[in-house]
Amino acid sequence: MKANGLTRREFLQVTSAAGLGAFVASAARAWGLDAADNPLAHYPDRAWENAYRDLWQFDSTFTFLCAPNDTHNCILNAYVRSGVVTRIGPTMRYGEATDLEGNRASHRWDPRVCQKGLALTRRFYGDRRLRHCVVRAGYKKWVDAGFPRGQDGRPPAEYFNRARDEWVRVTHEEAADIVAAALENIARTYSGEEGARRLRAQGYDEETIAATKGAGTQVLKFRGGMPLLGLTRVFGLYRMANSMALLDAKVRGVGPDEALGGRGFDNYSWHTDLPPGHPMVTGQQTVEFDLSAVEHAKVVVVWGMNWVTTKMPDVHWLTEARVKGTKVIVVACEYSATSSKADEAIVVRPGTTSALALGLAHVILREKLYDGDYVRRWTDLPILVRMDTLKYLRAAEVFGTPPEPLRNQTRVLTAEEKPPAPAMQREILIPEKLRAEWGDFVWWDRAAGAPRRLTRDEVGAHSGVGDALLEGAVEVALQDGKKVRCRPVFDLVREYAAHFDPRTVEEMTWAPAEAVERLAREIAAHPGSTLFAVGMGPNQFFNNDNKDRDIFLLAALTGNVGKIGGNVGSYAGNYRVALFNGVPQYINENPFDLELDPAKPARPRMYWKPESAHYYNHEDHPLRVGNRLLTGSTHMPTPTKALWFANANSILGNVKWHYNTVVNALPRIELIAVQEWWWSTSCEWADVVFAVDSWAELKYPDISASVTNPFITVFPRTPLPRIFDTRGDIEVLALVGRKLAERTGDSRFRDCWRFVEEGRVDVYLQRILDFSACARGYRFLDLEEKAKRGIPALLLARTYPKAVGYEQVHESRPWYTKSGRLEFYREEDEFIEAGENLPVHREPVDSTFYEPNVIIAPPHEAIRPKGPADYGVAVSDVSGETRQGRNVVMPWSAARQSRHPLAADGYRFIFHTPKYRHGAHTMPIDTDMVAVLFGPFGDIYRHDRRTPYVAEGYVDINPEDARDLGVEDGDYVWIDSDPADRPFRGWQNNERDYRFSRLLCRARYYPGTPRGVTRMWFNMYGATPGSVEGQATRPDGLAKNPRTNYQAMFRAGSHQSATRSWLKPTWMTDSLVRKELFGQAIGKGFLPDVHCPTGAPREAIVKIAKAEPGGLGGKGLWRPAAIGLRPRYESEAMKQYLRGEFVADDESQQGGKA
Amino acid sequence: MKGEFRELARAVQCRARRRAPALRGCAVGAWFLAGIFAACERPPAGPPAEITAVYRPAVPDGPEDSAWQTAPAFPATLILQDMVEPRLLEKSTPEVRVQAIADGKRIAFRLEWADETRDDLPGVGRFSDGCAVQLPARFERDVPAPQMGEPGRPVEITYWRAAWQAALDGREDSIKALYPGAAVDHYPFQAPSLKPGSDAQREMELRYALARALGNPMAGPRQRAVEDLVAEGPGTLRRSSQQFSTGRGVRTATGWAAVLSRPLPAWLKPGGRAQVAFAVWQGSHEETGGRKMRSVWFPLHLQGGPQAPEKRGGNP
Amino acid sequence: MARVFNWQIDREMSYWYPEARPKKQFAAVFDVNKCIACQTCTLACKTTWTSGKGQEYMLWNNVETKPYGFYPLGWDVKLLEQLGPQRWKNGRYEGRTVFEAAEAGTRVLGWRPSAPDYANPNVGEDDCAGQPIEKGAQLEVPHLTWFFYLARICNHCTYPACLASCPRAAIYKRPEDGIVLVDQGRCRGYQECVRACPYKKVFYNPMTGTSEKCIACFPKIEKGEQPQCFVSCIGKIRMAGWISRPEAARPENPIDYLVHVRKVALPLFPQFGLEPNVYYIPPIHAPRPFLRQMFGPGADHAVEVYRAAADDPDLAGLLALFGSTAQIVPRWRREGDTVVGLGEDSAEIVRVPLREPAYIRAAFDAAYGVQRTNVP
Repeated sequence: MKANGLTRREFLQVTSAAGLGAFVASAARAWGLDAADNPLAHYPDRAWENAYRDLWQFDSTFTFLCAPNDTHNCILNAYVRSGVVTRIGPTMRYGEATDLEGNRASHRWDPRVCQKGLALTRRFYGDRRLRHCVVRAGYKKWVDAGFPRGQDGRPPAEYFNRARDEWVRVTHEEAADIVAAALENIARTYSGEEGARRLRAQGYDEETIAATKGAGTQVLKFRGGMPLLGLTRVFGLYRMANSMALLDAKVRGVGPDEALGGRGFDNYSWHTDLPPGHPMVTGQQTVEFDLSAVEHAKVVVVWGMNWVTTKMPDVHWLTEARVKGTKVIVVACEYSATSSKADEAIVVRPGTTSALALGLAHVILREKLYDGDYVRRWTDLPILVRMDTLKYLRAAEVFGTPPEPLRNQTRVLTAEEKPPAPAMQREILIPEKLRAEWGDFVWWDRAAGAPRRLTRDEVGAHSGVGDALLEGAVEVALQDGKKVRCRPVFDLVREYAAHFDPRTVEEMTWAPAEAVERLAREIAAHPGSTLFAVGMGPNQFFNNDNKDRDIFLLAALTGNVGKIGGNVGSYAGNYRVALFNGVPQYINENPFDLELDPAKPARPRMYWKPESAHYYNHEDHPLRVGNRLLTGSTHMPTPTKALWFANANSILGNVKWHYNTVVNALPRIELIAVQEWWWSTSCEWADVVFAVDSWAELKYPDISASVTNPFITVFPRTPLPRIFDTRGDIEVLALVGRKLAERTGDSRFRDCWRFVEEGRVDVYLQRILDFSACARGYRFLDLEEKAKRGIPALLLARTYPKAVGYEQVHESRPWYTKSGRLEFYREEDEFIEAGENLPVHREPVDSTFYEPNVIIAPPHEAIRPKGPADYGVAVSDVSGETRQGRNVVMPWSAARQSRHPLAADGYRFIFHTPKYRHGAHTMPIDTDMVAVLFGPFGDIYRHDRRTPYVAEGYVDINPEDARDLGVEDGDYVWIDSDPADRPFRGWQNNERDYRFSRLLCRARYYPGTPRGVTRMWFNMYGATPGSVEGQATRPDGLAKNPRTNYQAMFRAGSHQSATRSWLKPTWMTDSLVRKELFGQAIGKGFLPDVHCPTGAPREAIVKIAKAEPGGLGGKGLWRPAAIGLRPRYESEAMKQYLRGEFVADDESQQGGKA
Repeated sequence: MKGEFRELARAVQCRARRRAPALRGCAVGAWFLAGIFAACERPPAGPPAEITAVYRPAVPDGPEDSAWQTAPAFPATLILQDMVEPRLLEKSTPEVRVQAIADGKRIAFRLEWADETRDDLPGVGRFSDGCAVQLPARFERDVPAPQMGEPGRPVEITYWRAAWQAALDGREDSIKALYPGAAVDHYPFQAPSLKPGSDAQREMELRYALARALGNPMAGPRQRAVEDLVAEGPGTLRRSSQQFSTGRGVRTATGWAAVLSRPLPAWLKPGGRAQVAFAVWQGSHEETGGRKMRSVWFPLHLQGGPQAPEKRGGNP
Repeated sequence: MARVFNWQIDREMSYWYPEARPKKQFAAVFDVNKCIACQTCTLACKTTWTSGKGQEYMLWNNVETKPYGFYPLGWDVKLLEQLGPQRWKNGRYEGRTVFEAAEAGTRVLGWRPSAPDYANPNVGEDDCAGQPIEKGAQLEVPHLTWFFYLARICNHCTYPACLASCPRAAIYKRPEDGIVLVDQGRCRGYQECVRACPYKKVFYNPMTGTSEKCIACFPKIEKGEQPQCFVSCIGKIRMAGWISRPEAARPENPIDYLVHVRKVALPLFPQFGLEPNVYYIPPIHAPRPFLRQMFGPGADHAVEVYRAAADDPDLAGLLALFGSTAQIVPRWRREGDTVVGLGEDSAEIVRVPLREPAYIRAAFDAAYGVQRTNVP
């Protein structure tokens, strides 16, 4: 008989074949009385142990880089047996990392790995692995039919049955040709007047049509998901976008000077990782520090950051610093994993970080505990503001003199001057036009009772600010004889912060007043040695820029910016592409003027335009409230007609407001191409899916670095043969380039990827290194060789650990702001109009029990926003859309009386969606062994057939709240958000799509979350039409798409069912001054990943209702609760256990006798 | 009876010697009760005093075979195994109905007993129903201890297990057969880069099933629902070098009926006599290993074959 | 039954076999204060040893959130309940061990988990006990609202209950390293060991019909390497080594130093009587009665010693050595601000600083004509 395809005889043959014959004896061997001896002391025959020694064996090992978007970038060892990667482990060689000067990391950096990395074998070999390229059957028909379109240019709907269609296997060549053909066709369709007409007919906003400038290539959107995770492989999509200028030249017959490339979506800001207030205060992207810096701090405030679950390989720095006396203070909206490691843990209301920071600042100001010297040298707090215009008072207005020449590590560029390559820029570069705009500033000398000029040179040691007026107002005489009332920023801020006394702050934030007082004093007592590690939590609320501005205020008042042991850091995503600021050498190489000599550098020219993906997420509309367009012209999106991305599920599968995007936005997009090695939710909704190599099979090396550790990590080429019919990501790009060359007859499309075809991507990589400030001097091939041995290199940043602001503070180098100082006042019109010229607190835009998005302020001379009336909307209009630009000011006394507009309908739970230890974004938690440990509902054997997978999504709810709702621990619940637009606009008349969009999940009694606050982990794969079909049709009931094997972890909906896209006016200004992405030059307005929308995915207020009992098969209680082991269900024994009553110690003497 | 007393006592002492003094008292006590039971449950008249293995040209291989209809049945009383830890303290199966047929070469026992629940699914905390027939390994004037024999005096055991029967009756050798909802993404030995069925693939599969790699008979895959075992006292059970028994069990309306068939021991000739003992396990009652209902030795009379017309009654 | 001495309960006790200590005893220290429940250890073990059929549910290494986390469900509560409240006096255990409390007909007091008990292997993840969070809160050590992570492997006990309970004596302790193994060739899957192990660290494999357990990665130990779950521990909470009996403790042996000299690492449920050999530095923020119940009467002392580590460079230093090498470190010493791990032969294995240094590079790297900056 055959069991397991193996008869006993065969099996014995195999046994011996396996060299196991020797052990077989041990089973049959004679035993007799031996067995009765004392097995503590002796065991007769141990030959069988060799079976375990054999299981341990491996034939070979190789290294590969695991780099999901979690900032850790671990070089891992793969262990190979019979050609299979059977297991994975750390290399333990980070301690050998060195730099060009011989500095060396210590072995305290080892090991670097995590459970998700160890589970990757599942993703290499599992059944959701892309085995070959596929194209959607309907899409292929459309392409084969020659792209038929209607009058308005729309393709017939029957070709676009996404996520329900069949899939057709194609070769990479065929897939590439389909994508090339579609790109060309779409570009032609939407070019010129006819193109504009079609877009108009399809109902796009005029501004967005105008933004295309008539170039069809401008509606092609590309995204290299998190570029730092693959500078050539992933970021190559922007090189592709740049080469679309060739297509435009062909389609519109224009020359290199008029041609426009495609558009590239943002990354860091798209992920809501960008803390948008950082550039508002410092003029550059983000301030952060390597997490190991905690070794050098006396106090660390871990603020809205679940360090323990999201920075796992670097948590030991925190726990080890704590052992050595660093005080750990954790501020979170729950009792979190990180709270459990705190010397002091504070639990607050979600979305109130700016209020708490203001409360702390208030105590410090009230008691004059601030670092006055730091304030005078480094902040704009002494600078005078005109109360008539609400602008900074300018020196020219007072002294009539022109702007001073700038000398402090700064150079003003004439219009003609071209700046050198970013890495070669030593001085801060300011275009003379901007310099003239800014002018110089004024502070009030109390001793002399006179105004004094302040240039942006005068910072730190060069600061001439002496006994400056900080509190009060002055009349200043202007050149034109006018007298204006002015107040220093300090005074405006002080007056505003006074509203945030500890008692009021306790009401607003739930942080006990005493805790506020204490924490403020603790921070003030450690100037320059307090680190603020701020997480993604506070950043995912609508008031995230206010949050940054107020935290910086607190840090600046206590001298805690720019020091290795005293600084602010924002921890979300891995983003600072500028760590390789030579990357324009690659992405922006001029497609009309390619350098094919490997020894020579490229000549970059940027033809593509960046764009915030948040407009695509907003159905391609800019933000318009009443009669007012609130999206700046520098930010203006174009219609999205093609979307091509790699290495990212976040732009579609896990997009914010996912269900609205797939139901309402996708139908207007005519090409969705995805490069993936694992079938994600994005693939479910795609038209063309390219099967690419996994990290373990890379044949084209690449490079990465991190904002939280000091390493440069290479993706080495690996010896593992490709498991399936896959190609490298960059090969796919080259293939499409070749197809475009064939279609257009322009060989430059192909030459664009010449070094890929020649297997010399190291040429591109070396060019990048040679032009990167933190990497120049390294040879790529040397770094790759080291990586193959498991050793990274040290990034050549200024300091180890990295500490942004170090140069400013230690070398008196101006910040990248107008004043060269940390700016807490924003004088630009957009900020004044929004009532945010001061660093105010606004209530969350949805996740609040009170009136959403109101500015909390008493009457204040400097807070004079444009209100609903100014925009021609009723003050009573609090709809999600209008709310975003609704500037209503209320003192707390009034706000606390207000209610969320849906409160009356039972929408009374804040629903926030943080990341967790079991996934990096959605990677790789849908693999059995990771999922089964994800939360309380894991069960590899799925005793309950309803479970969509071996684990499933759940909402954490305070037990008392659950009881009020009649929900038991483990029950299934429905979770609904604002019915006006969630889960998607129009669900009321669309049962077909509502079925898979409405969130159905388990509820867990969670005593660690405050009442009214619910939490669902961010990471799990959501339901799709296919997963719902699978659950209904598969014998095992798995929520698995029968056509694609896509595995959902929800029966319906996902964590993205409850929120929506949110656009905040202050994210979209044309006037904010900030450093360019690469190098030292300053510009203003939109800049991807620096100044643009971030969204606010933790904004959702929901209603929760019981759906089904949690017990097996929908009957009774969920087992752990039923047997008395769950909170609120404790058996007598469990109660005794919790109280520690199972032992009594007669006189608890210390230490015992042990 | 006397003989049995002596052997039992010896068995108990030898356990006691090898274990700890503490054991002796209870074990002896346990034996004493067992002895009483055995004695009391011998009614003066009615059921036969011995098990008769009737002659048939061929032993049936299944419990449904019509040949059994004419074979005399013997109600073998079962007693608790309460001599050695782990012991069974709560009675379950009271008796097993025994029939025997021999054909001159092999002897088949048909065991039938009541068991409300079918337990043939292996699993954590799950135990399989089963039964066993025990014969002394060699002919001696008196028999070894009925509980697994004793040092130097082995017993031969034919063991049938419901879980093995289920495997033979077609239950798949996969986790889904045990847990239909199971969803496993990956086993290293099923990596698509390994050719299914190739030596490398099978090697790898065995490597991850150690007990199978080691040829542990418990580990499967099964070819027979029975196993031949030898023991020389509790804790010494081992696989017999000769795997010559066969067997098959089926679920009846009230429990199980199983046929266990083995070659006649060399020392047991047609017309001869022997002692035989039985054991039954109820999975639902968490009976496994020593936690079982067992019997004392019962006399077995082997009817003569056609060439040796049998004498009626009496001992030789 | 025999009489044996168990130093963890400071008295003689009964055990199925006479006392016989191995030449060397594998042991480990886990610093609970550093555990982050990342489950890397769990996967390191899983992908190495239990990737076979029938092992899907099996976690030789698991990490659970105490007090609401269990694998299997209720493993410790159930046994504590069976045992009933017990007492310690002057560091001596006056209650009954699982051997002394064994029910008639069994060798060890225990219970049988069923398959559903192994479902929800991370039940209670991050669930807190104590004062529930209603609105805002402020907590200081000890936390009134609390949980902590407990990483668990086989304790390779000096008096294993699994070994005592096996009717076939198919479980044994290796004389050379004290590692406890289930002979996969001889096991007949009676599951007596599964029932007996109070830590529930022996598992029945329904596909092979045998019981299996953590082998302390003996193929690695034999080569002087730490087990998989130790090498992959990114919380750096673990150190593997060899433990001496209290009277033979050597301060230069990291395990002896932490367990015997500083008494900062304690056994898990010493009252069960198995003399387990994984020692835990208790979480400083959890309530003391719970810690005493779980780690014995030494808990208070251990917490105080750990909390004073800031002024205790030896202790802080030794803790910095955790997880810094894949090798077993049988000896150690501190040299000022550096801690060194040494082999038996005193050869240096690894050297780490107590505080990771800071390097400041020149603003302009003349050699390569480039600005080295933190704001590129």
